[in-house]
Amino acid sequence: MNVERLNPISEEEAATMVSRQTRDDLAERIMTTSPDEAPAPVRHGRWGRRLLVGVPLAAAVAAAGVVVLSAAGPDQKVGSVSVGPHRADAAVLSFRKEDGYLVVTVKDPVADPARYRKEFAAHGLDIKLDLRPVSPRNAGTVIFLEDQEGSRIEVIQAKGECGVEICSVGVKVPVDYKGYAHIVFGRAARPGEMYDTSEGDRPGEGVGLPEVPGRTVAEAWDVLTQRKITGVEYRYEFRGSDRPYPNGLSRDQVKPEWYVHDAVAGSEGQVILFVGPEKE
Amino acid sequence: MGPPDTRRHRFEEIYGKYHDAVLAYVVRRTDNGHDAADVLAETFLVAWRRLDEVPAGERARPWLFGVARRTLANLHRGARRRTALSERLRAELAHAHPHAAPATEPSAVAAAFRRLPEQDRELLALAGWEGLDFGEIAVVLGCSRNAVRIRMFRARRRFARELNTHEDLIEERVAPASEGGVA
Repeated sequence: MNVERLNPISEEEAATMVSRQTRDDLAERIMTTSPDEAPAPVRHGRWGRRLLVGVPLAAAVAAAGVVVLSAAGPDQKVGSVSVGPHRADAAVLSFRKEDGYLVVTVKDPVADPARYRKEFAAHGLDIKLDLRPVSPRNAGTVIFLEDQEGSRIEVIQAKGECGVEICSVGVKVPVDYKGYAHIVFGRAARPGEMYDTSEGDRPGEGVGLPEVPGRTVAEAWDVLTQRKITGVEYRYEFRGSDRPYPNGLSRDQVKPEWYVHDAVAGSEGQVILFVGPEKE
Repeated sequence: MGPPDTRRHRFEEIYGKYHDAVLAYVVRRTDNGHDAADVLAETFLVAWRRLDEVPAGERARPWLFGVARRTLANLHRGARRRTALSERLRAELAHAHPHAAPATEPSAVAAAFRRLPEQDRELLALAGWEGLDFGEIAVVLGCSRNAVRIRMFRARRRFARELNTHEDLIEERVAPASEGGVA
């Protein structure tokens, strides 16, 4: 596992590749450019991002192609799957026009995101909508928003009013909107379903352990059992290091009297507990 | 934006301190001296122009890597910006560039590393080659420390798995899973 020895070149070797003179010359040339010239900042793209809460997880999940919605036990069905046959054909969004806007509200908060996408597309809109399980106080709020045309989409939030059956959230889209947008709302979680973290969610809140730092592993196990969460990964942490277990621990290796430093909802339907023999 | 002398002084300090680190970062991730020279010059040009945004102290290092990383990504997208600042540098680096040495390393470790998704390799390299901690990697990638921690764990685990299965695989390549530049 030694990535270090694959290093193509050390910093010292690199340093010898450029002469002192060339190095100084480059610095001089740079400093003769005007700092006030159009700075042309290097950016990822041309997206206007208003809210990027919870992005790291969301982005990682998207990259891995994993659906984060379902984290239930084997007997449960959550998220996008099988919510009764009557839902299969019903519209999952409602559209109405109002003052130059198309007002779109969610009819089925646990529909497959592909179905939202399709209904938006039927109205000529390239909008991706997701609803993800979050803590009760974040239900009905926006946890991620990315829009291409610089904040022209308005979101209709419904704090505390977004369950798995009824949810009042939606978006107001200017009728001439042509760009792409991606919006993620938080909705209430089902039993056994982990939260996707959002702004203000404390570490561990996603697994019902809001005061995680300092709790013991045994206490965490009790809560996980109550919440019917079975998929747990353990990461070892001891004084800032993951040695000697950089690849994590099995449940047998984890001692009940150890402390939980952090608990996060991972993809692949699992909770990740950061544990160690000492309080962090 | 302070008076010109202060600006120059601050830039010279940053340049002097981190030139080699950025050069090494860039050389490790480019195939040839021309690209390396352009990215190095562009990175410090951005630092000069956005001097007020460069974090103080050691935090400047991952910040510069972050700029270099985005510049490299633009390079790969074909959005090359020749600054004309770096001709001599190009010539010197063209001679000395090691041409991405790991690609020719025959060991099982190198093979396993190459089979990892690009995202994993990047994380492991930032830790193993640049010696960055999770917080610094988060600065480079523009994501949270927690996200780095989680991704690093997965990367290490996949790497370990690749190493274990190496002998069963004959030249099987895992297609790199691109994250599409969204960090």
